[in-house]
Amino acid sequence: MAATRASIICYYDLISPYTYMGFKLFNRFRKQWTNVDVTFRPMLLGGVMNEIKNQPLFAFPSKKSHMIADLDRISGVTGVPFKFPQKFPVNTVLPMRVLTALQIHEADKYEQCIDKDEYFIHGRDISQADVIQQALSPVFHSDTSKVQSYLQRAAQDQEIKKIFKQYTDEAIAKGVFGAPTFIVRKAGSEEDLLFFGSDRIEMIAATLGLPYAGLTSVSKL
Amino acid sequence: MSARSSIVCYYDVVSPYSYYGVKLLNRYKTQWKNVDVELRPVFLAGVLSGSKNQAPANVAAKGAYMLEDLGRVSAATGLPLNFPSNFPVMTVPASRLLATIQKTESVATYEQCVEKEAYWVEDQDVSQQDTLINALAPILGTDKATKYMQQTSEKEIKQLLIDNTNEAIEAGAFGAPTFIIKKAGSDNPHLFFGSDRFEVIASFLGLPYEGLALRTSPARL
Repeated sequence: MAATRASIICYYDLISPYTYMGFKLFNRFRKQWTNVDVTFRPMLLGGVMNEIKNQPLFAFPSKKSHMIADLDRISGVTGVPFKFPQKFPVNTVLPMRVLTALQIHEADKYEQCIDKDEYFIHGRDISQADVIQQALSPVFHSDTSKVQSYLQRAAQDQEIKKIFKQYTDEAIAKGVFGAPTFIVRKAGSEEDLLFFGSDRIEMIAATLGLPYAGLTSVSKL
Repeated sequence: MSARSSIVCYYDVVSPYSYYGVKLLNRYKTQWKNVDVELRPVFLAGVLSGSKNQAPANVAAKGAYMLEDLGRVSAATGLPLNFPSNFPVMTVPASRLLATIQKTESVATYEQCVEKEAYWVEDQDVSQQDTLINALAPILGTDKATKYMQQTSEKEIKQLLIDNTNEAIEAGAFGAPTFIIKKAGSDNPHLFFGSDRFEVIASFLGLPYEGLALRTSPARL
């Protein structure tokens, strides 16, 4: 059914450097946007890649070098800090399942939990439970047992695993081949418009008739 | 080392994003002072194999997305694009022809020839010599267009395209359009990939970025 407001679903995986940058930029530009519903949906990028027989950027040396240089430059232009981690890639199934659980059970804290600097600023191994614990602790006002319980559920809860897999399958069905991918619907439309990449925010804004402040204005937003 | 910034754009006629890249670069540069711009034809398949990359359309989801993306870029930029009935076609003859023209004619004439919309608007088979001659006759005259077409079988011209392609690969290119950029007063090359990096390029060089939309009025507000 067509919604009266425009909507954007962002499929993301924490492994993706462009998702880190895209998320940061998107959330700044979004401050100027009204009447848009935004949802961040976890997916397993590796699962998507395997299914559609795509390969990640970092499998190609010149693409990997470009990616790092590209993000360093975007960081320079926008002021969003970025440092490519020494240990790359890492397995993000655990943190992504934690986020899946948080999306369901802690809706008001969920986005804060995505907006973390552990990996792409501090270079910490986010596949590790203790790193995830440390990252989420401040959001839960140091209630370590609460964070622990979500870590446990992420590792063991079949329902969480099932939902995370469902999101990944949904992404594949919609034509997603990489991260971040934005599925955009104009107000009153049921048509899914797919935008791939952290560099399509200007186009998304143009499509929805929203303001786009520009990359050099990001630090002021 | 130059007192001016420089942008070298490596392009192949077969690449839709090269089509946008060349058109947009030529549009934006009218607003940019002290920048030297050069368009250099390459053999994209050679760049892909040399960098051990593959064309995006090899992954079905990426090919489908490309069609969607191209339509929206066209709408946002005001640059028409009709996806050709034959894609891809062999564009080595076209690239060699453009290399010949670049060697002999003025920059302005050469750029006019590069921007000719035979493939990406008029859906002509640009792998055919007759088509190429007819496409460029309005700019060069039939005699010159024919003469240059004949020259494309010369060893020197064939080598020129090979040299451009190797140069791009050595610079780190893995696709088209690829921009190698040097800031004024520096010999340090910076590689930017894609027709969607103009905002970053402009910020990087301290130049104005006028956005995606075609400015229809001459006066700046």
